Formats: sequence, C-alpha cells, structure tokens
Amino acid sequence: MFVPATTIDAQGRALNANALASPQLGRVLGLTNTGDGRQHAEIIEGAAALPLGGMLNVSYTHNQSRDNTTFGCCLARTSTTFTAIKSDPRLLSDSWSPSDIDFRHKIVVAGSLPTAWGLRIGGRYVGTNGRPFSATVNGDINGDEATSNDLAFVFDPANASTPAAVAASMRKVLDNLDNVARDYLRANLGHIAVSRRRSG
Amino acid sequence: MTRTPSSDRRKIRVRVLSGSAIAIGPGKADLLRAVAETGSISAAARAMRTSYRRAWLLVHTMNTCFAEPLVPGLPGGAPAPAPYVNLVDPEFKTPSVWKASASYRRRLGARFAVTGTLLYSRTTDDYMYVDRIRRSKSSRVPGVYAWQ
Repeated sequence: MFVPATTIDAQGRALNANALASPQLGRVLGLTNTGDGRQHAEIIEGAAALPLGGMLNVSYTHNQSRDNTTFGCCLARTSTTFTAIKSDPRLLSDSWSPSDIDFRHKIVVAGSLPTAWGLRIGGRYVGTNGRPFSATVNGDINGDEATSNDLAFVFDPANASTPAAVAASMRKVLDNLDNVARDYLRANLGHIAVSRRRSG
Repeated sequence: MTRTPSSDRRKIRVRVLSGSAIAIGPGKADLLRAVAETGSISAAARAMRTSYRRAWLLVHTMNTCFAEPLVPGLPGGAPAPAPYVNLVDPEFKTPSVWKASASYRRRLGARFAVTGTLLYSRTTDDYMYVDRIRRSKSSRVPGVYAWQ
C-alpha cells in the first residue's frame, strides 16, 4: 500500500484510509488468479490386528506445503492477512514461502482394545511439528488495515545505532535458550524478518 | 372485429414532481411498499432486485421532497454511501488443483500390513481478490491503478 509519508504518525503507523486513490468509492475489488500452491507428502503406515479384535495403527508423514497466499478470502486488500508480508500484501510474488497449513513431521498412533461387553475403547495420538511462524509487528505499518501481518524489523543488539533499551531486550530474547525462534531471529538481525519460517 | 395490439395500449403513469426531482412515481411507490413490508431498505432493495445504493438514493430523494420523511430513520441531509465496485479480471480463469497419489500396501502374514503413500498436489490460478482502490508504489502489483 502506498500511504503519503506526511500522514504517517510518530509511532510509524499508517492509516489505511490515506492509501485510497479515490474517496468517492468505498471499495474496489478485482477478482484475479494470482494464487499458487504446491504440496507433497510421504506417508508410511503400519497396521496390526491384535488378538481378540484389538488393533494398532502407526503412521509417519513427512510433508511440505508452500504457497503465496493460503487464504484468498476475507479482506481483499490483505489477501495475505494471514501471510506476513514486508510491504504491499497484493504483491504475491514476494510471499512464496511455507504455507500457513504447512507442517514437517507428523506421527499418528491409533489403537483400540478388544471389544468387551459390547464396548470398544480406543485412543489416538497425533504429534506434529514444523508449523511456520513469522516475526510480526503488533500494529499496522503498511496501511493495509491488518494489524497482524506486517513483518518486523529485527534490531541487532550489536549495532551501535540500536537504542540501548532495545538492544538489552533483544539480548534477553536471543539468550533465552527456550526460545524456539532464536535461530530465526539471529538469521534476521538488522533487517526485516523473512516470512513464514519453521522451527523444526 | 379488431383487436388492439398490446404494444398499442396506452398507459398512464403518475409522477409527482418536486422541483425537478420526482418526489414519487410508480417505481418509488413500489419501493416504498417494499420498505413497509420488509421493514428495511436493504431487504426492500433485495426484493426489488436492485442495489442498496440505488434504493437508498431513491428513499433519500423521497425523504427530501416531502415535509415529513416517508422512510423515517434516514437523516435528510446525509451523504449517500460510497459505492462498492467488484471487477472480474477479463482473463479470469477457473482455479485448478492437480492431485496425484501413489500407494503401495503389503500384507505381512495375517495380522500385519504396511502401506506407503506419496501425495502431490499443485494449485494454479487460485482465485484472489485484489484491492484496486488503494494506491501502490510498485508497478508490479497486478491490476492496481497507480493513481497518485
């Protein structure tokens, strides 16, 4: 979105209304075909029939889904409301990355006990990892009206121009060994974070 | 015996003018009845298969032409709502999803089975609504008018 620089406030927030090309129109939408996606998965599954009617099923899935917009719905100027972006959410060419529904590894264990007194008791465990995430700003900085899709600038604590308080906070975040996004943040120091990376 | 062709039938349509504006005519009377029956301008617009904006403008004209507004609740001098425009790309294609899968299953004795599956899917031309009223600095934004 292009918002005139003079209308951006001191906190760096851009008002979406200032991006309007014509105030006479409330909304102008164009239906296009810019969405694209790929997904592949490999599944291996073992099943066992246990004595007396019980059963056990174990499966492992390796998956990769990538796209440029996972949901083409809802709020048109931010078709990527759910996809974090650097500037204009309409520029899908910049947002090819792991899909919002992506995961890497998945294990499913399901089983049921033999039938007793007409009852069958079963259980199921599903474990998934590798869901994508992005570092975003809590606010609207690109003027698209969505407050959760703007990729954040990751301050480098080693840079002399980083304010001392910010640098101290960043050090705390980066030194936290429990932070699953540590490597992601480290890789993005000093620039705007890249979209949708996974932890696993 | 002669019959008058239907196209020759003469009709009288009554319109009441207030200045140059039509205060009420057959169309507005129908709309007024629809508003009375449905209780809302938007429902009346749907019933008459017209847009909310058009119905709103007609009601607005009626309201300003009469001493008392015919449809209460609509401020006399309020501006008309800004219109919504929906465009379809002239090159619009039906989105397609290609899916392929291969599966191999092997029984190991009477009690065990192992299955291997490969899945692949590719989505092309997925639909997307693009906002075309907000300005862009980039000429790469598809179909966005760079009014500035």
